[in-house]
Amino acid sequence: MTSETDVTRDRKGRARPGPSSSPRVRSRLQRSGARSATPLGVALGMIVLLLGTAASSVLGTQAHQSVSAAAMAVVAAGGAFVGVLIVFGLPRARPEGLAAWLVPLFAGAGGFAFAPWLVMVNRYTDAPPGSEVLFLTTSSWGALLAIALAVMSCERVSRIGGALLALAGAAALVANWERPSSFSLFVRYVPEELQMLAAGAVWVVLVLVLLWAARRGSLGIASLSAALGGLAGAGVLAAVGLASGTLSRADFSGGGFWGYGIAVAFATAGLLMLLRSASAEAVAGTYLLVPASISLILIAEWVVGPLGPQPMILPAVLAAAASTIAGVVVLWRVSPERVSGTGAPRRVLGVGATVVAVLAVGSAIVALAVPTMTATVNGLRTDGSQFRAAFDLYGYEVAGPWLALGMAVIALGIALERTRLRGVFARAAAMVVAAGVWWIAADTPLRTLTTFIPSDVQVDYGSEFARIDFAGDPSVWAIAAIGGAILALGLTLAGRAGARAEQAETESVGHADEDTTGSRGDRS
Amino acid sequence: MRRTLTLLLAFVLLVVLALPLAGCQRKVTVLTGEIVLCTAGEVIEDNTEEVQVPAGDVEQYGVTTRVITCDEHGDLASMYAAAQKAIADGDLVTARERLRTIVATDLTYRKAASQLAEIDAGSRPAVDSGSADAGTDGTDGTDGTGGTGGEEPTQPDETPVGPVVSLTRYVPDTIEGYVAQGIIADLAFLSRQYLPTAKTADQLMIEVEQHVNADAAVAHQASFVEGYPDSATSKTINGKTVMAGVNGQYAVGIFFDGPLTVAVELHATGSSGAAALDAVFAVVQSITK
Repeated sequence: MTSETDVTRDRKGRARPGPSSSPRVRSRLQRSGARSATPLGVALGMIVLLLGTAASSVLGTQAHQSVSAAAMAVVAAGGAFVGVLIVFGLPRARPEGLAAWLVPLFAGAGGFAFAPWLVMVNRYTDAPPGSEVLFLTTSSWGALLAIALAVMSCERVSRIGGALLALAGAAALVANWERPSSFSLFVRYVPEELQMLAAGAVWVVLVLVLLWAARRGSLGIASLSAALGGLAGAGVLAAVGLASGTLSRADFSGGGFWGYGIAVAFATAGLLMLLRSASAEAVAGTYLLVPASISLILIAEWVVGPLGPQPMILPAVLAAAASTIAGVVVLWRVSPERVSGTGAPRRVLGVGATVVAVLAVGSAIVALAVPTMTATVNGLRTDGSQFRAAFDLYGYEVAGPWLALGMAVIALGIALERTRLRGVFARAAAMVVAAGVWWIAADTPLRTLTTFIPSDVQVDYGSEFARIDFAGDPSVWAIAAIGGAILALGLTLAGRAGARAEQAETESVGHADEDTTGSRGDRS
Repeated sequence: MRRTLTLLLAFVLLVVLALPLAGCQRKVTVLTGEIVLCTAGEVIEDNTEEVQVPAGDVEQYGVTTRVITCDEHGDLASMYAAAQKAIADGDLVTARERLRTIVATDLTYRKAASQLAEIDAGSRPAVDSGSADAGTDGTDGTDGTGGTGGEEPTQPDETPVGPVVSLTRYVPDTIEGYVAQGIIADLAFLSRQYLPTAKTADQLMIEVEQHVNADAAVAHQASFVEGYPDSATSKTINGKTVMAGVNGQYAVGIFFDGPLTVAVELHATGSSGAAALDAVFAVVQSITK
């Protein structure tokens, strides 16, 4: 978001020699077109990336059913190349060394060609369900990037908490698109879904490589190298596809197919617009918000009503979207406090907040591990016999405990870190919003389908032949975690406010002493 | 301290994030056992119970339904049949005696009450030629949804109307060894499910379809039987050429009657439907008399 300085955690408040603090680097950034992000620029980049990613997700879902994965990789790489040209054109400068173009080349082959191919090759006609694919290829990728960025920062705990909260919110959101939902992660297509996450890791590497290039002032060259790497990677995949007979000329047709390529071009352009500001938090946040943006499309469709009644559980969808936005706010980089005086809360309150936050995290973890809700299945099997079963959903299969864990980790991070007070207030406000809407989406089951209920019953869920009903609320452990997080946050804020008041008092006393001394001096 | 906490938190989060992949062996409460129904729709025995089983074993449990004619309704059925025969023979004294006995036991049994009232009023009631197994209140099913109070039985809503009614002759209320269920009718198609009383099969379905002409019906017969490629055979029954075959547990026999095709499909409880072919032919024999 900004190119503000980072600081070390050496308790001296000394600025780390970083990209934007160094005059040499700053001038290089300015020469290469890297710029400080204005809120408008970030918003524009986010909108372009959001629309491009949402459109590529929707069109990819439509196109992959009749087109081979290799063809999808080719059009994705082509789209990425066009996206790079839209933002940078053909750069005139030369790379400053082998690494400056070779590393982006390989990262581009991975992120622009291999990652889309890996996603598409693991999609079947109607499986895994679209909601799972959307979650695993947008929100999860955003969370992976957010965690990678957080680990490299000095606010890692709160930002990881933000990523967790946003991810849990996104999961709760897609799980409320319909009830019973087909959203059931890591139940039926575990290898396929893990490979989609692996594709996300490859994409994160690409974004980080481009981010580092942006901070070195060579984003244009690196982007072009990455785009060429993507084309080369897609060429290899196409050659393999041609040799194995899985790719043919007929694959390169259809509105959805070409629309997917155009959407990828815009998504790449949006990505580069955001990376030009030498910050990738906006990229992570945007990816986490893709399910929410697609939900808005569904709401518009509901208003127009072309496809009949809308199946979304609206209050829960809105609450989950609010949680996601709150998580995105928290995972955003905030410059840490430079003056240790106001950064540190009063000792007793600070320690108290840390202890309470640790207990809240522990409580959330217990909430994940204990039975939380009950599912009851009634159905008719294909042999005519009736089937009835009841089973518990553990906390990790329900949204509430995950949201609680995210908030508890954020509270712990705020208690531990010496973040600028303005940033603390922003995070506290986000957390209060998330806690306020928690109850609405907390009882969202994240797994409807299981491995043990007969498949002929599960396939009929929602019809007159079978139904599944959920009962119960999130456990008291989850509620305790939320309460603990809020309490820890309150203690931290009170401690920081007290420390600030003390410092102000000390400074005023100091000034008074100086005045007194000065008067004396004057008198003398 | 802060660094230790952060590392500890990172480790815990890694373990927690692996939870959805690891899963856990849980217990599931399932309903299992058998429900015995009378052909009149009453539940005679409910031998079901809830048991807690490991998740991996859930698929083996379920509730089966067995349909029998209980002693009480068996007696009523034979007495009702005797009453109908007496009405047909003009022996209204015997008919009245039989119907009074039935009404004393079950006021809502088929048309017994209304026929008795007609006889008491001095008129001769029409013979009820419906299924002898059909139960209380004139309904034929096992769903027990019949009315009470001896009212005149009403036709179920799904009773077909219009031209498709002419197809109903192939889905009679009574087929020996089967309990008829409701008719599902479309404009030119109807089907009826029957529950076998024998244990060798658990479902019988008869589907009657109206085609444009006889040639279309013959073509449909040939294409339909292609879906049942095993144990393919054909047989002429009551002048109808029945083409038959098996696919898995399903045995089917299909014949045409002018522009109509009639498919008789049995689902065998054994591993193959081949053993049910004779039963299919027997059903065809019954409905083409």
